[in-house]
Order: sequence, then structure tokens, then C-alpha cells
Amino acid sequence: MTAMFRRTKKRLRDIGTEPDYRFSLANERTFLAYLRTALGLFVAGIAVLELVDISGSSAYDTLLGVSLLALGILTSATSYRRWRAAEEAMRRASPLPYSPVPRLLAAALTGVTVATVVAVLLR
Amino acid sequence: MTSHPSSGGADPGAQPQRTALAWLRTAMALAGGCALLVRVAEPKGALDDALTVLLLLSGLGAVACADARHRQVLRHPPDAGHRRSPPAFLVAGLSAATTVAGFAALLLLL
Repeated sequence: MTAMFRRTKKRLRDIGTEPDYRFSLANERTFLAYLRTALGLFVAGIAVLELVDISGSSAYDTLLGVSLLALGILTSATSYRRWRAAEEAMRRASPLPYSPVPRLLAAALTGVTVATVVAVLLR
Repeated sequence: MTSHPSSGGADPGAQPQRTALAWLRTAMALAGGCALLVRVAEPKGALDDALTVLLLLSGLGAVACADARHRQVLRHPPDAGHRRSPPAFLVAGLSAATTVAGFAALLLLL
């Protein structure tokens, strides 16, 4: 019974072999880039909620600010998992895993931008 | 198709420096974002005060971790047998701190 609850996740250092230093550093920088993207979205959300009046409608500005913060939270929350999956793949010499986050982020930001342009033009 | 990277002593060139600088940029961005949030938010109670303290500690912690990783990356050459990947708890901690900052922004500003 207790075996069901025993932690089965291996330590990273116990998986496969040490990857090429250059690829490991590149993976690390990609992780940090995801976090900086999330922080940029946070700052944009804070600016919309507190500092600027985008559309003249407080309801839309609140929706826009919350959307930007939510996108940032999604980006930062998935960053560790993506880093670890890529690190494990490199250690096992298997293909890097696919991540839907960049596509989702691009689609969401495009939608937010179009909606904001429309809101500003209708102001 | 992915070519298997060798684990030999390939010269990483300027990549350790780029990685170290990336850590510092990220920590500065997190610390700056937390400071901005603390500046514009208007704490309304004990929970908001606690979130404010948490944000300030997150920013300082991020800078400290980035400094440690910065020195680790630049100090050890790749063939010295030292750990190359960052500790998983450091990566997870920074990811968690950033996510918490986002939730704190939602709670403080709405």
C-alpha cells in the first residue's frame, strides 16, 4: 500500500548520462527566457490594471490585465516542467519533447492584441 | 531528428558567460517586477501585507540564487568534473517564485 505513495521520480543526475555542456546551458537559458517572458506579461498586466487607460472601459481594461497576468502565470508555471523534460531527453539521447506553450502564447497574444486594437479604435 | 550531443570536453565558448548573464537578467527582472507591484499595490489587510513581504523576499532570493549560479557557471570549466546542470530545486524554486508573483499581482490588484 505504501508503495503506491512512494515517490518514484528519479533525481536528474541518476537519469542517463551527462549531456553536452553546451546543450545543457542552452536549455537553461531557454528556461530563463520563459521566465522573463512571464515577467514581461506580469508587468504589462500591472500597467494595464493600474497605470494606463487603454480602452476607456474599466471592464475591458480589467479583462485585458487579468488575461495578461494569467498568460504570464501559465508561462512561468510550465517552465520548470519544460526544462526538466528537455534535460531528461538530452540525458537519454531521445528527441526533445514537444511543448504547446509557444504556440498557445503566440495565439493568445495575437488575440489580445487584435481585441485591444479594436477596443482602442471604438473608444 | 536529434543528434546525440557528446558529453566530451567540447569547448562551450562564451555560453557560460551568456548563461550567467541570463541568470542575472532574470533575477533583476523578477526583483524589479516585485518592486513595481509593491509600489503600485495598496495593501488592504494582513494578507496583502504578507504578500508584499513575500514578494520582496522573492526578489531578494532570486538575486541571491542568480549570483550563486552565476559564480558556479563561470568558476567551473566543463571538464573539471563538477555539476554542469543547475540544481533542480533552484530551477523549480525560481519558477515557483515567478508564478507566486503572478498570483500575488492578481490578488493585490483586483
